[in-house]
Amino acid sequence: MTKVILLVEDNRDDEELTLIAFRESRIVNDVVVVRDGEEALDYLFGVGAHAGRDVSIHPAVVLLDLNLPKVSGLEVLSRIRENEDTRRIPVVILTSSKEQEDVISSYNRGANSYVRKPVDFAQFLDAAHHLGLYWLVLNEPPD
Amino acid sequence: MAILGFAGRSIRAKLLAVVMITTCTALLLSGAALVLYDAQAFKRQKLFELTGQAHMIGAISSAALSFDDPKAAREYLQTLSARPGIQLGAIYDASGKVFAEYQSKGGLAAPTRLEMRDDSGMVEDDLVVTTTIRQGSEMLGAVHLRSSLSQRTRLRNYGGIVLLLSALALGATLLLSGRLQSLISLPLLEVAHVARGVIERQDFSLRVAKRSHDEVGVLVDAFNEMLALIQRRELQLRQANQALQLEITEHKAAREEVAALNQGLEARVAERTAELEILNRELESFSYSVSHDLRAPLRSIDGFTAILQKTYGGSLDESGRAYMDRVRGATQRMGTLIDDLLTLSRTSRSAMIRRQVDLSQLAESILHDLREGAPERRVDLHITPGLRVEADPTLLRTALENLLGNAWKFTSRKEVARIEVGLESGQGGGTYFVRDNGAGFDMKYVDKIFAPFQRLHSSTEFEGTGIGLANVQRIVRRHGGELWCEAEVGRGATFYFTFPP
Repeated sequence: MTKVILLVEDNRDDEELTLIAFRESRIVNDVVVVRDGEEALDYLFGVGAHAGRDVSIHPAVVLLDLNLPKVSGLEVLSRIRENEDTRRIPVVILTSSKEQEDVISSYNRGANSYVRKPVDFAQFLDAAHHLGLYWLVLNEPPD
Repeated sequence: MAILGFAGRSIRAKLLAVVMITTCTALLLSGAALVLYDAQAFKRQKLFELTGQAHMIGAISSAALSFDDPKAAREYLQTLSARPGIQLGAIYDASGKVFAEYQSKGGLAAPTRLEMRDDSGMVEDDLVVTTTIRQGSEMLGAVHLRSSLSQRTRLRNYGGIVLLLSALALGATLLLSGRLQSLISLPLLEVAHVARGVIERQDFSLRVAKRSHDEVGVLVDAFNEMLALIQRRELQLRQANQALQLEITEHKAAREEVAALNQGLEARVAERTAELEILNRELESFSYSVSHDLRAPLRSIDGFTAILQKTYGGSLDESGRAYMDRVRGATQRMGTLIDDLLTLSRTSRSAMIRRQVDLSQLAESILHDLREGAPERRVDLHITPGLRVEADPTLLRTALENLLGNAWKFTSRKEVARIEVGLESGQGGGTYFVRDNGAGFDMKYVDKIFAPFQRLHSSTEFEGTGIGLANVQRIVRRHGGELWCEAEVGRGATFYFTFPP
């Protein structure tokens, strides 16, 4: 069974475009979509709405937006890295911001990669394609 | 010497001494004069008496001489014994031989021969008188008498009396002058006392009571006037001091007021700074929103338009598809615009750290990237090697990216493009330049070229947002430098800039 991709995204349009981009790139993994930071943590730690989920199965990669309702993307990243079970999960920041401060904070908190969503859809497709190829095919995650 | 010792004494003592010395001298002089005069008078008196005695003896003994009766003559002479002072008496005959002689007890012997003439004088301390005895014109003989004057005893007695009188007189003088001199010394002492009081208590209101109209009175008046003058001056001085004190107090108050104002000002500056910081934070959060929130809908527009084009493009006619292309073009331009705006705002906000940067190498690397983006173009590059500037590396890169990007862009229609980066040494350090042989522009629009969103070319001619040069200018100015340009339509443009150290 292939691992899932956890997409943390509050913008429905971006969610839709990302899913389309993955489909275009022939990425077959299931994409779990959560719409705020709190739900992302619930999913990862098997609590709240996601109580009872087998938390030993980690997503292949977490695509994390920074500007999220309730709990911010940076906070989610910190919580993932603080927990022994989740600290090795690959996290890619996927956001509109290219503020140097955001980039630095993300890497400081242990992000594996930082990708800025391009406005141009062609470039967006390109980015999604590269992301899928790299994190789902080339990259070797821990078991 | 003695006068030096005297100088330290009080006026009273000095006056007393003067009076005593004067009195003493006067007494001694007058005493001496008296004694001398008395001695003379006594001598004359004695001589007169002795001469009388001699005449009398001569008169009574003329008969005895005439009758050659020495016995009678001796008896006459014997009467001299009643006169204690007479030492000797003798009667001589006409030939000058002793006729009769009388000697007092222990007296002297008469001279054996005598010159027959009237004579008187002093022999040793004794008075000697010789008178001739005559009968008509006939010389009968002479009488010779010698009497002691006892002047020494008299002088001693007189001296004793004078000294005693002097002592009494001095005592009286002492008593009298003690009282009388206070007429002079008291007012002087009073002046001295007041003067001491003035010095000790600094009380210039003290005055000396005037008791006389003599020189001391004049001194007292002068002293009082002087005191009055000093009192007036002192009062004026005190008033001036008070005025000065008041001025100082006012000055101090003014200074405190200034300090308070300054503090107020500082507080206001702090307040304003805080406000500005809030504004700055708001601006930053706005920039963040622009970066994040404005781009998201653009991405949706472009994304879904692209999907529409792809999925439903077939069911649209040519113009429908062209409109779709326009939607996407506009979206992408807006994306670029937002990015450029963000860069511009970051240029002003970001911290600047200047260090040595190799401008030549930086230009080389930027142009290398540009060449990779359009490998088909023929562009001659001339970069002077080893150009070094003191600048913030990130900002310098942004500036060069814009300048070289423009050069690259505006030479895109040239068969053989030429881009030059170099240094012209001029006054006050070097002037760097980026020169191209591209489209150039009309110099009459030169003042528009550095303003944001101002473009001299249409988007169809050359794309761009009109922010690049505004950004370059901000970067150069933040480094304290200047940016200017020369251009000619169709022949290219040169941008000059300085980076003062």
